[in-house]
Amino acid sequence: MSAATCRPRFGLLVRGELRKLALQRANWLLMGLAVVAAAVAGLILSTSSGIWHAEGAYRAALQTDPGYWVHGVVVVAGMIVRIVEGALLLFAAARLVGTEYSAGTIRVVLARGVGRVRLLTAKLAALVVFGLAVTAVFLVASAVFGLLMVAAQGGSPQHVVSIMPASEWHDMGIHLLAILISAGACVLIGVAGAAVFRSLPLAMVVAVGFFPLDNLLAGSRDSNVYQLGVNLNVLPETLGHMRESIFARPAQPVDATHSLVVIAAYCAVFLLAAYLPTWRRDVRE
Amino acid sequence: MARSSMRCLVRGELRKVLLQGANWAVPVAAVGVGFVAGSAAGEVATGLGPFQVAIDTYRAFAAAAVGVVVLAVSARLSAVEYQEGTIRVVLARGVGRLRLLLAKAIAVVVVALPVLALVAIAGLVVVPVRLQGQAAPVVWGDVQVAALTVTLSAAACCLLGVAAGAAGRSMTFAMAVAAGFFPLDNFLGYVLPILQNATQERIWSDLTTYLLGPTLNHLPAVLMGRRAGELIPPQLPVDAAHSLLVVAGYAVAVSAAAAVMVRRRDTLE
Repeated sequence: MSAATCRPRFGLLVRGELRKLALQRANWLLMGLAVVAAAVAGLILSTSSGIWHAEGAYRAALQTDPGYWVHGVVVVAGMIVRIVEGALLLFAAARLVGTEYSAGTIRVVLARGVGRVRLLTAKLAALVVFGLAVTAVFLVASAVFGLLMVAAQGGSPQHVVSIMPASEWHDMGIHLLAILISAGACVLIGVAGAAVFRSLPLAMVVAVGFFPLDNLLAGSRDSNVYQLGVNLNVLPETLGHMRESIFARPAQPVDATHSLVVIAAYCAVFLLAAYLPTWRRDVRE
Repeated sequence: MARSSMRCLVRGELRKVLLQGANWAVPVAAVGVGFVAGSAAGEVATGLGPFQVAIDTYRAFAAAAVGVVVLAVSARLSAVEYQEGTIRVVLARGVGRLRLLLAKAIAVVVVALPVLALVAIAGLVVVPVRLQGQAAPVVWGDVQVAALTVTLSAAACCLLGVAAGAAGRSMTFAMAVAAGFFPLDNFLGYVLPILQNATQERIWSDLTTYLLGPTLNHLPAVLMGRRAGELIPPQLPVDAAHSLLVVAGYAVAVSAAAAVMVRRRDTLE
């Protein structure tokens, strides 16, 4: 049997990586924590009286202006899902790539004839599948959460859905797009950190520290319009959503094209940072 | 078999710190983080006198830079034994688990002292350079408070890093805690007031006064009795006694957690 026929197919590699993601208990623990944190934060924010400048009328808005009420829930859910899903994917990506080096299993995989670049691509593909699945779980959880909120406050889910304006569905689409873009950037940061440092602890440091440092550095400097965190923070806004971000904001107004170009540039740099060392440097771990 | 003396143990730990190549990369990262923290604090210090701006900016830089060094070294030093499995070799030589942990903490203090001294000497150059010849009276009280708060912050970081390594028994966990604790803590200091605005419940603001990061950020202002250039402070006014009690409470809680975990759990790594 030739070496070529022994090499595992790409589909099998992706399946293997998905198995690793599914079997890592820490990922399930993080997922559980993320769902609980999201539910608690959502419950606190969406039942509050003063949210989004509603001046005490927000809770009553379910009866008087259900569209407005839904809008508030969508804003809160979109923001929370972006944050918790981003954190989950950052850790999962850093762990998936970093563990191979720290545990030394990368040598076993490579010894079976899998190329380094091919393995990294398989890991990225697995993370994309994982990210989509996580997004789906969070969307379902958000929908259930919204319906429970409606029921708990004496509203009718059918009535709320039937009177929701088209602009609200458009808003949800924008939030979904922002969530997916943010998730993609988080996966690339985790993968790049692990591929560059080839160490799980350092990959985790990058995963944990990137966005806090990025937001801290942003401040109100003019140059913060070129920072990743700032552009991700305001992405739903620049894509057409009316609400303001509560996190670090660009010093000057930016449009959707600017935000998307900056995010794409960062993603390209992260991809290069992941692939170049993987391709060029031999594995000695 | 003779048990190693504490001095020998500390010397051994110091050798580990010096011989771990990765530790020599930490100061570079520390200066970077310190620069970010210093410039963020400098923005908040706008409107203060020239000396106050310079000392507040440098204090924020020093606290962050020394904190990064101490956190990274302490987390690595306490977790590396578990990660590499060498803890069993050390324990087999008759060293008690708690004694080893204490030796590691002392070694981190020994590393931190010259770092603090170096940062202080650098401050003697940087602050006057930052003043750029402006006539500004030196307020020695502010300098003392800066030295005290940077030292307190370094001590808190030392305990946190050692405890993370000892409790998690994993380098990944320890480094994640070392890298994530203060960002998360400061993030809470930012998010809790938003929750307070949203819910009109005072409890969220109250909670910010019990967060370690915001308390350490605000401690200089409390001790100096003036507005200061600082990162995220607690949402409600606090006095010096409250701030020092919060820091002491965290130090005791973290030390106790580490000691109990190390003492009670057998070493299977």
